[in-house]
Amino acid sequence: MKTKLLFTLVMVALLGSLVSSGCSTEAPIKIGALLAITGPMATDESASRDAIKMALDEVDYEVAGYEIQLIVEDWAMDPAVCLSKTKKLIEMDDVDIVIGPFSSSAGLAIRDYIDENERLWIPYLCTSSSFIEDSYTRYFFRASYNSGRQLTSVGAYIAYETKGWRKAACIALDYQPGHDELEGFKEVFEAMGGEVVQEIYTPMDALDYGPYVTQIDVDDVDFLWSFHYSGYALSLFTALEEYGIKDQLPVFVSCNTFYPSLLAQTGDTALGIESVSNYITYLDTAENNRFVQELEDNYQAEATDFSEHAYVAAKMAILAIEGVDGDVDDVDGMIEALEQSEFEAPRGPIKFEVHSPVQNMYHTVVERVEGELQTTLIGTYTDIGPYWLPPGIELD
Amino acid sequence: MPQADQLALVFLNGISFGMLLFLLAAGLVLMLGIMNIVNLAHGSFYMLAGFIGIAVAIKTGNFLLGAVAGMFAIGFIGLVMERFFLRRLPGHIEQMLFTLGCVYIIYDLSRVAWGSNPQYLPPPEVLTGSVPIGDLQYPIYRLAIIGFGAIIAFGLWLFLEKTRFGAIIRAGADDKEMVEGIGIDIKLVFTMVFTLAALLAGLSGVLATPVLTANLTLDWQVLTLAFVVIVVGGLRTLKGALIGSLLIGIVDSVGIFFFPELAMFLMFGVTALILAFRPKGLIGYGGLR
Repeated sequence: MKTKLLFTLVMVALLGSLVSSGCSTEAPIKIGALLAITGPMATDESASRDAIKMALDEVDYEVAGYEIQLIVEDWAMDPAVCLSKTKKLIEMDDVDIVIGPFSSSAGLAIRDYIDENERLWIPYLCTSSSFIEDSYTRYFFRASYNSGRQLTSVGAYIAYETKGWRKAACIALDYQPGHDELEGFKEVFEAMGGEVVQEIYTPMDALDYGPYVTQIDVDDVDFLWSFHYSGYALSLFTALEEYGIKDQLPVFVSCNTFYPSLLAQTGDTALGIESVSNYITYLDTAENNRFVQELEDNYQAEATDFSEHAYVAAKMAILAIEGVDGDVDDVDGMIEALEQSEFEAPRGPIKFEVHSPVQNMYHTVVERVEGELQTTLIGTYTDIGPYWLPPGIELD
Repeated sequence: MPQADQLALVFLNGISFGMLLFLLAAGLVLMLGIMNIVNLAHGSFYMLAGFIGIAVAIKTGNFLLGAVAGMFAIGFIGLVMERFFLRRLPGHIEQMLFTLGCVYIIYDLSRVAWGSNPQYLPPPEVLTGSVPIGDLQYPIYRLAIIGFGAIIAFGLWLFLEKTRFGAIIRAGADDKEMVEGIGIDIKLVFTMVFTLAALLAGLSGVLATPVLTANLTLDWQVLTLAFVVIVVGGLRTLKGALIGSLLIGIVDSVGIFFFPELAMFLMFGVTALILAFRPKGLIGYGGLR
């Protein structure tokens, strides 16, 4: 009984100290970041964390005269953990802004909770179109693009107009975003007059891509369209090279697939592959060169779509706080500030439409320049919104 | 209706994947069949061998050196695991807990050493390229894997059936006490067999990198497949492991080609069907044959 009483007293004392510290007048503005620091995405997500820190370091952790406090939580690639970490961030830390997670499934898991608790929420990827459609919440503001309607529409335009391809074999990862991207591409490509002859889905846990690529009817199609990234892209390119399919068909990737450390692994299997993306590490602009260099020099992290999107998300948080002069209780004010914001990101100029970026799309090809593989820019498509369609094309 | 050459490709795919599975499953059968040891780290052996093989092959520019390095590094780890730990762990539960710990240790060390990016090793120069089969192309490296798998299978059979050491191993599988009774150091034999099994896992890990790449998710993925293979083939027989791997490889490849949506179901469906009629596997037998 005595120990129980003692325990209760200690708990009360602890709670009391928490409450009193929470009520201090000089309260900093708190930003919570949901990152998958452990698990298969560890490298990408550590880079995301560094990029967020870099954005805050640039303003010396001070915005509109208020100190900024960053609280990082690891959701370890488990949507359920992501939800409990979100609850921790909001209930215990009382954060004002939530950055992350990158994954759409984790994002959908915390969507309702964020909506109920009315916090500004900046997931940096979460590309699923449901976030701005069925699962829309006005607290949502993403730093990425709209799945199936942005990269894919531009990709369809490039394939049909620029390359003059008419018949496509499509191969995509067998999960929701993979289906969204492939179906989105098919819809636009066919509305333009093209035809998707084959649709092949590779399971997330497929070990051997041989049986999938041997299905591709190389004689009957003009090109192979793909939605694969990181390890999945490596497996796909390996199989395409092995079976000599890359010699017979152009390959077009509709995804932020290529960054230096991946190209170092793919080697020549990626050579000549064209792609469309909203960020490329090799983009030669002053802002991007600065971003890539500083991230590498000061944080030893790589500029990939992950770190760039996380950096942009942190920038958006800063813009939102500036927009309300640090009065972060005014969530509507922060939302309004972001809706009207226009800024220069490493990937180029960004503004917003239905809480999703309007931005440049880059058409690139993998080339060997001075012995190193890199993506070389072929064309830039500006002002591409989340529902962009090629000129003259309408969907039902 | 698919063309004959396309069908040939589908079957060759199945056989080459099956051969990779066999190299892996053979080690598992040696451990389970002879020593009655459950090794959950077998998939991790395979994964780690891939990473080590790639690192060495890229450093030296020699695929063969990479394969040898990957193989012997894993062999050494196997030796240490058996000699200092598994030997003292009599029950399956203890073995599983210990090897499960090894899975996590190997995973984390690999991540620290090589990061979470996937890695790829091109096949050696002589095995690059493809040969025509009808109107289609088939990669030479996969044909080489089929040939190599067949050689290893034959070599293992010779070793176990036709040599004195093989006879001791088979006797040890059937009756450990009796073998000890006639003055053979069964503990030494067990250490050697476990090391051999680890060597096989290491070899398959490196050989597979040009086809499957190396990444951090492989450990559980290949372990599951290897267990499916030996359950289908019969837990304790090498012949069963061979038949099981080829069957699973071909069912997987054919399934993906004809019923892509059902591929995963098909593989486990066939497994369930076989177990329903032959609970001990296709070549079910208590000892090692």
